[in-house]
Amino acid sequence: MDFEQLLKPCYNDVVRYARAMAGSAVDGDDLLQDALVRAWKGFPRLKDPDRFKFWLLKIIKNTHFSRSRLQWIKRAVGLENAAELTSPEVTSYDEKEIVRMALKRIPEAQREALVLFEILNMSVAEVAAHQKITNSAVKSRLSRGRKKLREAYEELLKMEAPHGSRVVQTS
Amino acid sequence: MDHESYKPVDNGLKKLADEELKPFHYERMMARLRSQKERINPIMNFTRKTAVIAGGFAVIVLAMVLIPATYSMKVGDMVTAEFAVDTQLSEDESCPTVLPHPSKVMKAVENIRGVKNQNLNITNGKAELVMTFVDRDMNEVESEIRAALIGIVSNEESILLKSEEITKPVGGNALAAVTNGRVCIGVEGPSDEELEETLRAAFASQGFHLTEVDVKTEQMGDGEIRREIRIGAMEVEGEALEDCEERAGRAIEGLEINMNQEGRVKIIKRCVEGECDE
Repeated sequence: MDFEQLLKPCYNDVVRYARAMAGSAVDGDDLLQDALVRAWKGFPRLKDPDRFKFWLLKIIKNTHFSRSRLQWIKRAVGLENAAELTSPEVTSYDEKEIVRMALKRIPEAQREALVLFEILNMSVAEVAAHQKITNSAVKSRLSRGRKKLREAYEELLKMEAPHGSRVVQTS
Repeated sequence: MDHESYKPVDNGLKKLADEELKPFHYERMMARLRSQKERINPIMNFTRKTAVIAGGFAVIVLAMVLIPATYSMKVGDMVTAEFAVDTQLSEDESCPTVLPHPSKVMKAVENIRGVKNQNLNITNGKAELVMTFVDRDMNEVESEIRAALIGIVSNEESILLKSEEITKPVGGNALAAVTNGRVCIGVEGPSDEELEETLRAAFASQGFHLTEVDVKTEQMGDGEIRREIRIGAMEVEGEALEDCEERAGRAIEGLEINMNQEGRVKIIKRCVEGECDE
């Protein structure tokens, strides 16, 4: 089977995963594109095609980490211009977008567990296998992740960004 | 699973799980991927890797060629052979005759392996042969020089050899300053003043100010005249010196540029065959 044949059945899941990990649809699609290039390059080394989806999720996760590091450097370099970049307008988001933003504010491991379990509808055992931890550890991550997600969500709603910009829930 | 329910978050998570992709999302993503694939297809990848490997190999080869060359130009060992020179007065007793003939000395030592530079200065019955070697064991070289000079130097016991290692890299653009220059020219050369002027003009044309120009003329015998020119200049590079040499024309024709162990330049013109002809 070739790369595209394996990708198509799990495409929706990998898009959702990438978007949730990246914190927005646009960033998620960019992340996915980078990850797909990496995956395609590494495809000849994939031993078990049945594990394609999990293998690709791992590549997306690694790509996300690499990009996050780069973005952190860019942010650190460009801090003096941050105020100019922030729009003074009020920004409206629906629950889906706020949750996606909130997900970005919780620890990576908990975020991934939540995304796999809640969004990709994986079982606890599958999440445990993917994260290489025990089932109980997954449950613990999910519980703590949800708590943190809620806090982050509420924080986002209360947060007043520079220049009066606000996150407003529309639905 | 039991967990603390919070409606907005639950709703948000559900919406994310049910999120429909825009039409042709997959097709567009695949098109982007294919276009990237073309840019980095395995052949290109191979070519790039090959180019990198070939480039790296070329650099190594170049380094292997250049480093020894640079080394040989820049760092060496200098042996100075000092020996007594028999002098005898010529028939009219006006000029001393120099023995041995400088060319014989130079010829005798020129085939010693590893010789990079050799210069012979003879003054007042004393000769100083300065040779620079590369990649030679100094003990071997000393014995080879001694052996080469047997039969040429009349008093072999007077040969005194000393060696020093040149450790400080010099050469190329690092050639820093001309401290002392010696130029030997022949009988029919210009006057000392003319020669000084010529040298100053030659260096000035290259943008260098000579801090010192001193021309001395010495009778060496049989009508031979040795002229010693000492020049001093700062921040003169080897290549520029050679330009000056050309511009100075006949006056310093045959000028040689040598480096001493302090990274400074010593310029000497040898008197080959005892004639420093114009």
